[in-house]
Amino acid sequence: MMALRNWARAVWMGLKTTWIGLTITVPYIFRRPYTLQYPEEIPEIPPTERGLHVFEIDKCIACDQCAKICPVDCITIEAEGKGKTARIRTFEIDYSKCLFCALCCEPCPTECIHMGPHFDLVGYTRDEVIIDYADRENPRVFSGEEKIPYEIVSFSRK
Amino acid sequence: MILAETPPFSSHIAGWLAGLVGMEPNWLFSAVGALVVAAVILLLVVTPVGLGGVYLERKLAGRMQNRRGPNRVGPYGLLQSLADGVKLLAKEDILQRGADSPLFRFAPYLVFMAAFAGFVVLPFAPGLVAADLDVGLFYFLALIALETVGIVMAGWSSNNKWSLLGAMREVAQVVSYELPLGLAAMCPALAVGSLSLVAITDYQAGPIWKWLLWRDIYWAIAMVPAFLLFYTAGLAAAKRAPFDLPEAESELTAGFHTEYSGMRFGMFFLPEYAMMLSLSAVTSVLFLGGYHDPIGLSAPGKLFDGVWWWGLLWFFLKTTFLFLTQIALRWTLPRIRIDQVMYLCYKVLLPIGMGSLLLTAALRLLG
Ligand code: SF4
Ligand code: SF4
Repeated sequence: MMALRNWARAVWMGLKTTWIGLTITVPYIFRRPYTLQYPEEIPEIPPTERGLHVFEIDKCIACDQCAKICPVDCITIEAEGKGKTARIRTFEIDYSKCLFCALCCEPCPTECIHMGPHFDLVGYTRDEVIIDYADRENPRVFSGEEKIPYEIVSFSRK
Repeated sequence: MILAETPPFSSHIAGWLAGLVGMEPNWLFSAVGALVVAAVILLLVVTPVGLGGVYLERKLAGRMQNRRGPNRVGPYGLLQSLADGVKLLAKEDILQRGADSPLFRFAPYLVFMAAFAGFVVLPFAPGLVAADLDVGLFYFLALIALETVGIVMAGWSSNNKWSLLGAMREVAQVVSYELPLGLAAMCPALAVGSLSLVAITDYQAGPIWKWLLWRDIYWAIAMVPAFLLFYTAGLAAAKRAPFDLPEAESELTAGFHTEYSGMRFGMFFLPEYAMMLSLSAVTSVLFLGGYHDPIGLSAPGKLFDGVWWWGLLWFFLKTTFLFLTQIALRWTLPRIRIDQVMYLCYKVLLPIGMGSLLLTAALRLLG
């Protein structure tokens, strides 16, 4: 008799747990999916995001501080002259190495290099992920009084 | 699909072909006609059913996991299955070293054939049945067993440990679920007194309480367990979670079809969905009144008596409902162990099936 009772209880529990499981999973069919349709929908990026750099070329004095502090040596600067009259020839950041630590923003005396909100870094070759910030066509390079269209959080210690 | 009142479609085609070449219709033309009908069935039923089933499953699986499911190919991703089919066709057909070539090549066809041949006896609507066999139910159950042969063949000939383990599990599963499946199918057959699926359907003509599931209160005591039994054993027969042990992708890579690639893999993949659908269809025929609607409009002498589209509508509504529950169960329950499958089948389903059958027989005897 005891065995029969246990058997009946096991059968009942099997049915019941299946039912409970279904009541949990089935309502999800009618909920909105969380998936973000990435290329069409851009996620909201918090202002503290450490994405691809934003560079203000006119402020840079080619002091090489950022290149020196970079732990992976991924900044290459070539410039004519120094100080406020410096002309930046190349300011390349190799994103195949960069670890987005924001250390380069800290020592910059003129606060001209920032971490920006962009994160889409794709390329078919490794050379394609080296970005030259001396290139004024680059939408992430700002000069003069141009307003940076997003909030920049200062990582500078000063 | 052939309208039962008219002479079989294939004989029309045979006659037309014979007229075309100016000869008397003979067996050769009949054979060609039958082949054409088979091809049409394959094209009109099998392809949409299989591809639609795959799409539905992926979409629902996505939604149940807060994803969107396929949505890139075509509107709402509707063409995803088609794109997958093209991809499978374009892939290399690999025959690995050590495989038993003839068996390895033949196994997918056997599975494919067995799964889709089941559609022949399904009464889709009044008069819309390819073959109203006297032993339709028996034929259907026999085809389920035939599919197993193909699976064991695939597992054995692959020369791969995963495949072999999958095939062994399939055998262990078959010997456990076949008995309850048969017993559960016997109950409606015994109640109606026929193995013909059309006869079983027409016995349930009328409003919802005429369905075999709850024909009257005593019958319900026998039939509700039989229904759950048939459904559960059907899940095992279709190798659906929680009984998807033979393929168990997380343990056995892909089980019995680990070594298959390209379209041969597709020939294992599509039948799974065909099997789910035909099992849902047979469940709805046996217990839920088949093509009869729940308000009784299709009963003899009523408004929609013998109207094929009305029957087709209800048949597909019921089948789709059962199909959706199968999908929901797959994404709800974890896979159980093989010993648990055998425990369930032998110690739970089998006694219930015997009890149901006994009760049905007694009720039939008492009138
Ligand atoms: S974020 Fe860090 S790694 Fe990247 S350039 Fe700046 S200092 Fe170098
Ligand atoms: S530290 Fe600032 S000013 Fe100096 S080179 Fe780098 S970006 Fe230019």
